[in-house]
Amino acid sequence: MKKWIKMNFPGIAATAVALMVVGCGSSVTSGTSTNLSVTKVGSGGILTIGATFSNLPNMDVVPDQGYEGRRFVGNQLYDPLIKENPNTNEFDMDLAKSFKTTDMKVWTFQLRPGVKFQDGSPWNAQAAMFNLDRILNKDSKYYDPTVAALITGRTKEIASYKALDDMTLQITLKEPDSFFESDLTQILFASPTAIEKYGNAEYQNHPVGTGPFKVSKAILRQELDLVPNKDYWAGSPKLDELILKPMPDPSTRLAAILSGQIDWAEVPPTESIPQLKQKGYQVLTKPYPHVWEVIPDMSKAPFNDKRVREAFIEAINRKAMSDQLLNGAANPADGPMFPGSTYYSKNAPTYPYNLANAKKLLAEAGYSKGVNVTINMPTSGSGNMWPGPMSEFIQEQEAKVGIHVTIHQYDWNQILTQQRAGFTGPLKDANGLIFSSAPGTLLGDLETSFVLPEPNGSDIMGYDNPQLDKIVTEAKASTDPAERDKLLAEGWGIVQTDIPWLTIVHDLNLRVLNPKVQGFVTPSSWFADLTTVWVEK
Amino acid sequence: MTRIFHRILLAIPTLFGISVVAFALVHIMPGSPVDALVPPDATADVRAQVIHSFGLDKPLPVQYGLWLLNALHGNFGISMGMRVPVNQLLGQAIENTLILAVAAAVFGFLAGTVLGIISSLNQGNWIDRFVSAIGLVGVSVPAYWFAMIMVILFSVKLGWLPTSGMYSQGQQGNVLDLLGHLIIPAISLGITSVGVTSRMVRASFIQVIQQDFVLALRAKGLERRMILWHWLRNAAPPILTVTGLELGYLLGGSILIETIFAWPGLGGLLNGAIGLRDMPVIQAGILLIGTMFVVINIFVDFANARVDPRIQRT
Repeated sequence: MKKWIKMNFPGIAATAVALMVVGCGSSVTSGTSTNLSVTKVGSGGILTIGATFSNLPNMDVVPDQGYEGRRFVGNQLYDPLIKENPNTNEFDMDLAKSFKTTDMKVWTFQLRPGVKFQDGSPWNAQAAMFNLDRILNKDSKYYDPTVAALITGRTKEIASYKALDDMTLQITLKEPDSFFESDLTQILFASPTAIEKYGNAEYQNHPVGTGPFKVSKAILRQELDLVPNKDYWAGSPKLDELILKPMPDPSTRLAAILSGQIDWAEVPPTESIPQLKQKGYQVLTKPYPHVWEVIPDMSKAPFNDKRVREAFIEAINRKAMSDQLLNGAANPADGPMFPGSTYYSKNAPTYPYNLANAKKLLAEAGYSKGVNVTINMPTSGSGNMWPGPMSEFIQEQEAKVGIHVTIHQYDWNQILTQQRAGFTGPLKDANGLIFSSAPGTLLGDLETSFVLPEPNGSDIMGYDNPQLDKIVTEAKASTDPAERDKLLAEGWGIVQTDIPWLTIVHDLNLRVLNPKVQGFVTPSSWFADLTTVWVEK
Repeated sequence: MTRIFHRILLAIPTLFGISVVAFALVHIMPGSPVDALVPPDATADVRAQVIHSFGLDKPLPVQYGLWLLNALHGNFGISMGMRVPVNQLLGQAIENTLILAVAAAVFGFLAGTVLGIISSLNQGNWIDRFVSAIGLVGVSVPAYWFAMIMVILFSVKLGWLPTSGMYSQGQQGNVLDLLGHLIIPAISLGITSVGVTSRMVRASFIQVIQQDFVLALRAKGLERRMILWHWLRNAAPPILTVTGLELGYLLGGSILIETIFAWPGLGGLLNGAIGLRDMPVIQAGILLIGTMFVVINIFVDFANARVDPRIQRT
């Protein structure tokens, strides 16, 4: 019995019913079950969330504003065929009741029966085809080039798709790709009736999905009011209303939660953690795939030498950085994967704070007299934590072992451009780039970040390890998800050993909730299940 | 009247210059809207498709011509990031900024004028020094710091006023609710104007009071009220000019104040757009702010000419 696919019942507490998963030889099939308990509908109060985005995310099927847009809007309005369970990190069946693939190339989905879009139109293979045409078929009437471009990373392996019958969808990939499973979690499905009614351009102002919440009112850049979808196939959410407010400034979110204007604040200032805890607020942190790193240029000195990369990490007291500078909002990192993740390799070496060893390694590499490095840093941006104080901390720590760091600041968009073009382009005078990543959120992340060079991937370091390439190829072609995950863990272990990223800390997804907010399970994911949440009167 | 006509004529090349700058700036600055939108693992093909769909593959002069032509028809295109017509975004943002800016300007002008007059009437004594100190603090204090202190005091500690936003839940359009949300941001934003205006008013009044005509009016035995009226008219031009400039700055939207108070105005919109290199929004925003400056300046000139006929003759 394989545990990797489970059913998700939002609204059902701990007694989640594990689902029968039948593995026959190399074929993977997942079964289904029905919702066993009746959840209380509504009367869960109004939850107001202060989010970090400065504008409300686009409400089409590919939200902007990074993973936060997906967390609070995309995943609340829409469903994918398969979704990542934010609490278990396993794949749950969603708009597909089950799927079958024997070779990881031809994927056949049995669609979930009885599901309706929020406008009452039925979910079926035609609706699925309509949505796939919208992002893949340039000849279709509702093809939308922008939406297609935004989702292209998840769809580029798709060769063809067809409806086998009213409730069966078949997707054929260009080549076997077991990573496609997580790509599916980001392809969301909208009501064809709504898109036909409003047209591509206007649709995002009238979004209609099958998800747990639907839009009741959207006030441009100010507020998004969502109400529960009472007909949600897995049971209506408990809340009466969910309100999202864009609050880009951390102090604004802090003031708003302290004054009771909002019940939930994403990433308040870390200095406020002790005060918030003392006042009885729920200060939530949990490891999830989010690492803060320096991407080094491995094609030139000094980071072409692994000893220098190791010394760079060991020279930083990352525990002090996490506990004191960031008041516990982070954990020290030894590699991209956090301990506890499915993909964390216990065999990989760790790099504890060790000044003596750092100095020794530098001397061995020929830098006993010190070395200068230039690192580019974003001033802000999605997931970049607190780059200013963190980079100053690094500067001060590195100086102790003779690594003299010059920091150049750029705005987030320029850093993105630099990261795309790499060290041969605008980064040619830099030795490193401060960046943040969500490694392992998608199964293909290992390949994208460390195997594929630009433009198909983001291995701008010049990192190459044939052993890793081999493992990724095997994992990709593997027809057994358990074996695939094992290979991926091995691959991430190789990365941790080779240090192609100078990983500094793992972010802990800091958020603070009013004590009245109940039923929320802190996820080990970028995404969150809001169907179980209610607010005490 | 010819003077005003000339000013309006002169505004046309100025506006044209602004349009060139607005268009060129977004193309000169490093970074790209495509990098902000398209995922890193997008193929070159897909990137090209997006660049084409935004019309960014055309030569720059052609892009500028098309943009200007559309702009003259009042069409500023569609936001690349938000996929909403720029007109809708800017229209709403300028309305919100206008509410905040006018409130801040009125506060700055009234408080500044009152403080300035008090100061000038008490020239040299402790009241003058005290009020001047307030003015100096007003000019020097960082608005974002002052804003946070106000929020901590009046919203978090005392709970009298909301911390941020324009309306409470479900209160959209309720003027009283809006006023409650407006007080702290308007004061925080207007505090600099208070400083600038009070110092200007004080200097201008003291200068005028020393002029011979005031003495002559007194000697003629004119009522105090009438003297004040003449006095005000003579002191007004520099104050009007400064107020006009202040209003121009305020209408451009304050990125800091709008961010701190999650106020959905022009500053925040442009700040977000710059981060995404959302070209249509940035270009239209710069053009709008530039145009407002030009228009306000024309108004100020006009007003000055009305108050002080000497200006018309020069």
